[in-house]
Amino acid sequence: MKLFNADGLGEKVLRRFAGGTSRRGMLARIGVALVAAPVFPLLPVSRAEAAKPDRSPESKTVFARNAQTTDDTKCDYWRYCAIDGSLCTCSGGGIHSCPPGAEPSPVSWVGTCINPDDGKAYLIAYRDCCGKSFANKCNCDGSDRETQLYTQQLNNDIIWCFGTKSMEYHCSTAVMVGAA
Amino acid sequence: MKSAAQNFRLSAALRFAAATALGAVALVSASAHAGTVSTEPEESTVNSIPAPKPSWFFVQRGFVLPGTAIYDSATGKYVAQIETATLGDLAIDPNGKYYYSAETHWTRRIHGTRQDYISVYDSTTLKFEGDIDIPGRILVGGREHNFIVSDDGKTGYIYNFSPVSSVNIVDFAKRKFVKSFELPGCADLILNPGVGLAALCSDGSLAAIDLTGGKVDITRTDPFFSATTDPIFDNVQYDKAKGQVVMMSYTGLVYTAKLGAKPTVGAPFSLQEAAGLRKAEAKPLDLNWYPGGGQPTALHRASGHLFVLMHAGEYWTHKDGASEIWDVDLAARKVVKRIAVEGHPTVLNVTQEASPKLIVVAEGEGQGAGSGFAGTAQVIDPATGEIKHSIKDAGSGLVQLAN
Amino acid sequence: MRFAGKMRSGVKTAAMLGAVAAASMLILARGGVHAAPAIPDPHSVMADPDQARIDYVENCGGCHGVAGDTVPAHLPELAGRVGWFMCTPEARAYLIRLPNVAHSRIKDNAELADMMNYVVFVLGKGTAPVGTAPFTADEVARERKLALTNKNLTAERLRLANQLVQQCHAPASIRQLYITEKPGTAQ
Repeated sequence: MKLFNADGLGEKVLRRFAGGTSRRGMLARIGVALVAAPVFPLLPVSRAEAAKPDRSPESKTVFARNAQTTDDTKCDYWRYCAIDGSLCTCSGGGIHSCPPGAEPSPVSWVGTCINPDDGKAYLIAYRDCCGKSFANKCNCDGSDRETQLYTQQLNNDIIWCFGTKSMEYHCSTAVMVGAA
Repeated sequence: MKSAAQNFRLSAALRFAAATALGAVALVSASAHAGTVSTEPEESTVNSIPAPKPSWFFVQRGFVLPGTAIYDSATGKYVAQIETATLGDLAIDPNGKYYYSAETHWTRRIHGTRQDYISVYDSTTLKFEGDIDIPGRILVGGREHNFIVSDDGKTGYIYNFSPVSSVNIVDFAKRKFVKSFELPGCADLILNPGVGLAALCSDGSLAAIDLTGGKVDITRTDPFFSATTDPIFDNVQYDKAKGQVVMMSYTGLVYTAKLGAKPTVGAPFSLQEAAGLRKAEAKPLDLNWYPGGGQPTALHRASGHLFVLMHAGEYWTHKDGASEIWDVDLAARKVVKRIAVEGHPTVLNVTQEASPKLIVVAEGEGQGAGSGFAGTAQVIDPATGEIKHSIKDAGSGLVQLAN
Repeated sequence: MRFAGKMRSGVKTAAMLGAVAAASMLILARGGVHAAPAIPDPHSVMADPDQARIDYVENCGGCHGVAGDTVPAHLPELAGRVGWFMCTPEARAYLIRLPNVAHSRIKDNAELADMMNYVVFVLGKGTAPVGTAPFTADEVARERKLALTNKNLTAERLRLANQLVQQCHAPASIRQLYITEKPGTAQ
């Protein structure tokens, strides 16, 4: 199509394919229907101190608008807004537990995701579980606010297995480490 | 043997002989044997290949499979496999003599002592020639700028993140590790002829790393982009002839920087405006065409055309696969062609031939929940958008070219 | 907790806000144990302690640990140790000049000062010398322009650690990235 036509961009074009270039190589699909006036959770009234960052844009991404809070084995679970890899929840682990025999990396990167139930942002430490071969189950590749290698602390492609006995990547957890 | 006997109406005794170890002798004497296979035992030989050609492309087999496949874009044919590791990096000698594979392994497969090294392979025999040990390297894969070779082929640079950010220097002539230096807050190594290296940094600047005379002196340009709100993709495009690097951000802003001791960065232009559309923004709920993929740009240096993987969507979808490739005339700052693509590819490269060919690879759809297995590679003629070759199970990782 | 801080009688938290020159250095007991206040009242060194902690976790906690500890990963352990770096002017400046701090996406200097005060006074768990003045917005504004982008940070940290040992009687282990790191493995 030559001209940008917002009306022409319906459900078909806006179907989002998560995980296009995942280092884990997955193709998890999130079907998105963009409505003309999207409804997104209202954030609480801005806090008194002016220095508080405005996180309202975070609740408006495709991922945030379609996130769910009930099934942590699916890529659209709210905490996975920027996870890259296999979900430990599908491989004998849990949302903050490594499967048996794998070791959680103390070092990770920390992103923020919006919980759709309360519209608030939470700090999520994407700690990899290390020391076992790639689990390759439930591969997801969220990318909300994820950046490139020169800002390592915001990149989710790096194998975050530092301080573990082995750096072999097994799966990823999404540990809630505080309110944002 | 039974049908042979039937066909040739041999006597029962000869049929029996044919069925035994003596059958070979009996058959030789039965000279009217159709489909004769010479029974002279063959010798096992080993093939060799030419030095890398401009039409060749190198595609990693994906996150879970080691090896890098060589295909010829002119014919669509498979050439051979270079030994590379998962999470490894391949660099190709600019003189075409060697393939260098940077790898990381442990002495007991995934536990034991960690070992980082560069394996050297002769480019025509693909024979292993030896390893060069290095102190460490970043484990990430899928990028061209963590292992690069100087234009004269003599020096290798390998980025390390341990999580200290540093660079290892390797002498390829002596096949030895030389030294490493810290590179605080930067990554994505770019050759900087006459100076050493350049790199992108988290304060939104480009660093010049002066390595002349054995020193390490790092200076930075003023910040010109935001690493957190509109980052520049790792896969920048180095142009040796022009001494430039072409860079693109998540919203599709295209920057060209002149390299040197003091790099200068020109004002960017917007891909969408170059296509006659509204400029994309780094804000939510904004539908537009955005670039995406692990290797979303490819520069054809001679013509100054930049090819970009584009998809329609919203911001923070920088890993999404493409539905179009945009052909951008950099000098004119115009999108001159938009080519529809199938399969939502996430990696793109372009041969540097006079009549270039685009290479795209889409990720394979694995069984069940997993993937990362080989997907389809397509060779596309950018002049017409025609798919020249479609190669199933080619790979799902980075696509590289030999200069 | 590495240091059993005890409130010295008579020292009030308000003293922390006094005009104690940043350059003042106090001789501390050998062995690195203060007989001094451990953690000052957070509100005396941070305008918004909650936001400071959130900022730390979001921007630094991934590598340095939510509680300042990711041992045995190869980077400086902050918990119970980083306060020592407030002991000399150079080491104090270093904390702000680190590229990851100087180039933090926290653009507001007061907010960044708050975060670094959280690091030094709360994560540092009493290792900041008595009377250490907290970082200020002006100080942060000034120091973050001098980011150490052209340095071997490992060597620089070691150089400053030696200063802390010699001038402030910091424990020898401050030279190591973390206390249990084998001595001499610093690269």
